[in-house]
Amino acid sequence: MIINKEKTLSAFADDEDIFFSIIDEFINNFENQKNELISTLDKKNTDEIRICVHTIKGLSATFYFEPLRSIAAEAEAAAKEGKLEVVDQLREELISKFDELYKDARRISNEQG
Amino acid sequence: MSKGKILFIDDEKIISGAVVKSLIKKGYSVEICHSSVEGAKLAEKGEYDLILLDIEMPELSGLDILKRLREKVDKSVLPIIMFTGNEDDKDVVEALKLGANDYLTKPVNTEVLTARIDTQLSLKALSFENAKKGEVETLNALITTYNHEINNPLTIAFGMVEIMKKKKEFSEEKLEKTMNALKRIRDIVLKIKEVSEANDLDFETYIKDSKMLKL
Repeated sequence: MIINKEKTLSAFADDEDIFFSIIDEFINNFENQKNELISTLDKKNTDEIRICVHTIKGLSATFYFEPLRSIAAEAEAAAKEGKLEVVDQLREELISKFDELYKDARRISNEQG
Repeated sequence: MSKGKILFIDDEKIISGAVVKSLIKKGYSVEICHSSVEGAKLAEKGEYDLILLDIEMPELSGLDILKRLREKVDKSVLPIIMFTGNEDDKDVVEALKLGANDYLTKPVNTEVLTARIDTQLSLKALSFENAKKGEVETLNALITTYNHEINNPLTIAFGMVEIMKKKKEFSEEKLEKTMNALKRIRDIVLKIKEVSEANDLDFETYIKDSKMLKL
């Protein structure tokens, strides 16, 4: 399971409208967000990386997608300590898990119709 | 009618947008600002009942904004609830030290958030009511004092006029004393006017909360 629908729904008082609005917003913003993530990682500015992965950490936490949340948290901590080599090591996995989250959001959106 | 006017400052757009929708559905009036700098300016306008403030933001952090706001507004007047996505408690401790009323850890549960908002708004209302009661008590003390202050010169003025009336003779000295007593009363009335204008307590609230009788 990638997106934990039950837990996400519960956080929003079981309001399906709100749940699907988050899914739709995420899908619509995904390309921009992914491009921003890649360009921020390329720039190697630790402050910008910290803020960018922090946002992804929050998003994955909302969907209860722990693998992405924990990598983002690790990257955030590394950026805070200025350890760019650690951020670089996490880069591919971060992007790949972010893609997984997107695919699952698409699946849920398609099932909903 | 809105349950309260809330400003939400968070640079993240997707989840914060969903939180706002949820709060609006629950009857709050909510404005969202994704720029920390603009958000700080809006919060300083003093048009909100409560502020929701994310800690981790670019440019100005939530802690920076909190510090700025607390230099101007007390926590009993403007409740601020902080959001943190960090596992580290350091930010939370810092926020509470700087005057945050409460905090929530992300991901936010909207039912918990609503309960925290309601608690803060109730505390704010209670504090406002207590402040009003305090004002009423001060005004009552003022009335007792001025009652005495007016009574003395009034007795003198009456006394002087009574004597002149009884004796059927005009006295410069007694007229002077009467005038001085009346001037004293005029000064006190002006002072009362000054105090009542400086106080935003409305007449109906005063009547409700005190034992004063309408004449």
